[in-house]
Amino acid sequence: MQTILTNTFANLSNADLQQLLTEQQQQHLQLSLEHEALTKSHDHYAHIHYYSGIGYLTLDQQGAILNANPAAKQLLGYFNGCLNNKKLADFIYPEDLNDFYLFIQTVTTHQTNQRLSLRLNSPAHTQKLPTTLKTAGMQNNEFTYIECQHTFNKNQANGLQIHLAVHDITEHKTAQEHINFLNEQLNKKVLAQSGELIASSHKLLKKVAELEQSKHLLLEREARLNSIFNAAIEGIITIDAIGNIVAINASVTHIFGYEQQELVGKNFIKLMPQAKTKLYARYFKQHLTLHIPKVAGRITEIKGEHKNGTLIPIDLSVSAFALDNQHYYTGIVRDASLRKAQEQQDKALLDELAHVTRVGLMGEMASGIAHEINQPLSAITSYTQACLNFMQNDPPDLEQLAKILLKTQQQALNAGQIIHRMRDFVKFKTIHRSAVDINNLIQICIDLCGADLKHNNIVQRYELSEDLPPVNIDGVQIQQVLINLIRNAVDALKTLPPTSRRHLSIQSTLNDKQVIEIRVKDNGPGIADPDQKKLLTPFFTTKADGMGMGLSICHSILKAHDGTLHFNSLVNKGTTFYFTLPVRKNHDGYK
Amino acid sequence: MTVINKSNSLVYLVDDEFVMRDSLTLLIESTGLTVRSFESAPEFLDHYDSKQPSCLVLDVRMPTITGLELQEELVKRAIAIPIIFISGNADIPDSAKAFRAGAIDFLQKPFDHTVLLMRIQEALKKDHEFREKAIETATLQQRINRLTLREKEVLSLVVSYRSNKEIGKLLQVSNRTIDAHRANIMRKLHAESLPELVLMVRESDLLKDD
Repeated sequence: MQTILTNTFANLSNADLQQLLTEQQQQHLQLSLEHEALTKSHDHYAHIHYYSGIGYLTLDQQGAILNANPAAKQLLGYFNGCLNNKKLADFIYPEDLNDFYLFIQTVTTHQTNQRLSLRLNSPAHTQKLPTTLKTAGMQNNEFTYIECQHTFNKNQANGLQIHLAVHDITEHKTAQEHINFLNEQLNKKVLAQSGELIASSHKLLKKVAELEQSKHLLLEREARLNSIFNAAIEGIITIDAIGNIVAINASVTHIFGYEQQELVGKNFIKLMPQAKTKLYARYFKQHLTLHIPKVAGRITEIKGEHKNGTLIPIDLSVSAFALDNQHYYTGIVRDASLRKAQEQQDKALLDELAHVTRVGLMGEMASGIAHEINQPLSAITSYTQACLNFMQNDPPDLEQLAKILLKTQQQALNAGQIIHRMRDFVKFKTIHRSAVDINNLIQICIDLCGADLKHNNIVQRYELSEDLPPVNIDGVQIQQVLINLIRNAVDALKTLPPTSRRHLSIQSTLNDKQVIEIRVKDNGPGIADPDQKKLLTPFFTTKADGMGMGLSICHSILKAHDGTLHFNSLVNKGTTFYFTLPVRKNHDGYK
Repeated sequence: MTVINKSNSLVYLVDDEFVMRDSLTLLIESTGLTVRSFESAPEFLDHYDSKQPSCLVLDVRMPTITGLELQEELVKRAIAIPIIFISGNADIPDSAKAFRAGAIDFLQKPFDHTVLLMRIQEALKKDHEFREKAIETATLQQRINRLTLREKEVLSLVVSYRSNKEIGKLLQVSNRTIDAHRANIMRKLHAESLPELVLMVRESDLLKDD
């Protein structure tokens, strides 16, 4: 335009020039006006550029910064000095550099608008992490995240420039990260919870399995118990609080002869003959409610009744249990017939043995007893001879004769009694127990041993308590015990030198436990300590001609009578044997 | 045979058994004798009367003091009562001991009562004889005591079968003097012949004490 102007100036008139000048002036004015407007606009944009919250960066093709507004500087953490010609790459977090270069390349070659998110080395200016997140384990962000937007400018005058709008997306990123983190946490929590759920479901499964197992065990147990229940030799009867039978096992049907359906639901009194009378019914009712807890565990002997009416001896033990507030009692019943039979057999054997030894004892005592019988026989012959002599008087004193004859008779009776006692003693009886006055029994024994005692010069002392209640015993067997003890005492006393005094004392007392105690005491040489332990055992004897059965049988006899046999012995002092017998319980009827 | 004066004689009976005492008492009394019975030896010793002719029926076995112990005690006390033992047992050592100590018999119960009564008679007779003898001895003793010292000397020599000549030589006196002494002795001792004198004096054993 300038060249055109100069070329044309020479051809122009003043007017034209004038006009041209005016035109020029007008144009200049217009241009000034335009310039002013442009400057205004530039200032406006520059102002926006400078104060914009968005950073603007102008880069050359190599990525060097040509221009940066304050916001961009702030983002890059570069407040002072000039950024120009610094490489933007230096501010970028190394891991993101590749992305950046790729971006630059794309921008320069394709000249299209692009976007890129990057991390810068400069620290974030974001707020501190909320404590909730911190405690949840989230790290504070170390980076500044930016987004670069490239705008392609077609009016490139001074070569290719890259214009980047950069804005801080750290908060956004952080928020995203928070969200991610929380999501992660949530996931974790969900995972953990689902883990827990799985675990608890595992547990439940295991429990179910266990329950299955224990159910199985229970079934097995029940089956086993059932088999025991039914295989038991003992009958098992369960009754409720009013005595109705709830359950029985197979043995009950065998013992009592009833079928199961005949018993279940019926009162157990059906099986107890004693319960048939009203009195007993009441007793059992009371017994059931009051006494069963007390008798629990103990074995009582009762009589049961078989369907066919025969009585069965039964050992009964009872235990109580409660179920749903209902009281039940389980009775174990054992048919004691066999045991009873065994006991009876044992007793029969003991009786037999006692008898055999008694006969032996009588043999040993024979000479003494012969002497005892001699006494009344001598008296009888004396009396009768006296009568014969007195009858020769004229007239005979009949009164006197009668008196003497009465005495004679008495002596004959005495002799008869001794023989009778002797025969009783040796006789084998099967009916035994009866109420016996123990003192009377002691007297008989003293009589039977009297000759022996006298022959050996033994001073006797008797302390027999009066009014002793009767004892329920086999008199002959207890006599055997007493005679054994007396003869042992005599044998012991015999060994003392003839000059020393020989004492035998027999005592009978009732102790405070309602037990009668009989003591046979001698002042003989006593029993040596080692012998004492063996004294009551069979076949132990200290006598040259002894069998060693005497005391052993005494012991057995007393045991069979619910009594005891003990002794005290001191060498050179003497020996005391004492035995006890329980008092007959309903002795009132015998007094 | 000496006749026993039943009313005068006494039978002691010692037995601890009442029945034996009672029956034997009646039996013995039925023959007209008097019986005194005791339960124990000490009781008998307390009541024994030595002046009364008697015998003792004694039980062997008794508490505290036995029959044999009583027999020993009686020997110690010089009580010469004839004893008939009765026993329930045939105990040979006991009976032997009893016999050695002078028992009349040892009867075992039950005994034949005629035997017991016979033994009682024997015992009483023995006691009677013993008492007679004792009286005779006592009389003789009295008579001997009346002899002079020389007469006692001569008597002891006469009893030992010395002749008058020997006695005269020993005592250095004449035969005549001895004859006179002998005549005095015969008279004082109520002897009718020389053999009677010798028998009387020897049996009594009275001269030995001098």
